[in-house]
Amino acid sequence: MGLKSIQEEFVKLSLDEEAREKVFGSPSTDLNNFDHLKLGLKRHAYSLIRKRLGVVKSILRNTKAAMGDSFEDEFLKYASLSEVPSGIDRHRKDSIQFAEWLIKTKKDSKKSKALKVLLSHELQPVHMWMSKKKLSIKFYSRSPHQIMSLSRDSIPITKARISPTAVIWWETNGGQSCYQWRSYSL
Amino acid sequence: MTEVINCDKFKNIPSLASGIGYREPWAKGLLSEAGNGIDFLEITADHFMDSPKWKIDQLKELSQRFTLIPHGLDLSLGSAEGIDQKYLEKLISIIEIVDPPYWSEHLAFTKAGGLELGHLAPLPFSNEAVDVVAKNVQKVRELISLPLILENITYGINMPGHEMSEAKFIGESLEAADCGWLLDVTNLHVNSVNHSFDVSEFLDEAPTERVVQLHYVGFSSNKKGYLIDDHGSPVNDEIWQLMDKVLAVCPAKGTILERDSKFPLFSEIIDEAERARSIGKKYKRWD
Repeated sequence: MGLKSIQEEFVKLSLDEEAREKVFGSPSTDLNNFDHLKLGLKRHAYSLIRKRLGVVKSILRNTKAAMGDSFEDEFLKYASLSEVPSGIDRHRKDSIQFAEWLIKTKKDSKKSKALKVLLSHELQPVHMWMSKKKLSIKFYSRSPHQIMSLSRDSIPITKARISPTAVIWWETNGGQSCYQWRSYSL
Repeated sequence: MTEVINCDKFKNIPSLASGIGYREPWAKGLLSEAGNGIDFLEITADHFMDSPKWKIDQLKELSQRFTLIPHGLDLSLGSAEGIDQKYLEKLISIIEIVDPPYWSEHLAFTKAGGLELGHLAPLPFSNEAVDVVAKNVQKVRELISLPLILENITYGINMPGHEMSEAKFIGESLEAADCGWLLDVTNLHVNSVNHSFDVSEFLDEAPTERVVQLHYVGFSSNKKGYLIDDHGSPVNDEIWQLMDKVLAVCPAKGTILERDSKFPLFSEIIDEAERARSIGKKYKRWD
């Protein structure tokens, strides 16, 4: 097997759990090699997902705080079902796709309305980066600021009351965070 | 002190001493007086590609104060199907802004068959892989004439097709591609423990004369004692000891601390950079 084929096979097996089950599903006469490759690939596949999770956690840190341990559980479910985004913006796309997945799968839960606001709010700087926008205005039925405060105080975000809010995001110069926001009750 | 054979090609690269990988949490610290504790910066080229103007302005501001070394992640120089031209063009635009004395990438691949791993994958230590790296670097060299150094990575899996040791593979690849070596001492230590080989024997066989820069950072381990290069820990004693061993024999021009997560206070980063600087001074790698 040439290097091109080895690399293609490796990438496919690293990203596709079904492909791994198919290849390693049948018994092998050489048990030692079988175990070594299977374990190594499984570990590699797991580390790829953990890496994606690490970056998405840092982008959606307030959502992670509000959801607690279930954030990770949900990401692992999403990652096992989704294609890995590609390109320079892969992690940003991953965050957006995960948010869309969460909103869709959690739409019947009590948290859904507050979660939708929080995710939309956290993704504004991501969208601004990707579209190179300097200004963004979003309107919400609930205040993202209140939702984040509830989460910080370990109060369920389902307690967020209806409170029409406008949030303005703008690009600043220098410093640690170059996207700032301010919210206004309507 | 062991006599060091200096590779002529890299003689003109200036000694840069002790630096860190640029990360957003360090931005304010670096541009303040505390930033005087850092000699140069490595920037992850991908973080600046396709970025808004403010991010490029940040890059230009940093380049006024520090020598910046661009470090690519996704050129995939080990890909048998060839390199990503679009990524290469973006990389060139970053290099042109920064105007560095050299730049770096990895002895690895990240893409194959139209799919992207999003992570560095190892190459088999084989003659075919050496040829692939050399061909891909040659293609790159048609557009970027600056010296290129390549980093050794960690590997959790031994790719099928090994024909030589890792140390020999690094030597053959760097010679065929005419590149310097970005010796990641943490990756070397992690691999030596996880794959049970002796570091001294590795260094005896490896092309130490081609070392231009080091990477280092702390590692962690799982319950089974398997080491993980998570780039999120203070530098362990084993890494300091290995850095000392390496700088005694390698003509490195600089060291870069590669902390990527669980960021401590900037002062702790300065302390680690100072310790690396002291080790290099001890072996007269820099003043």
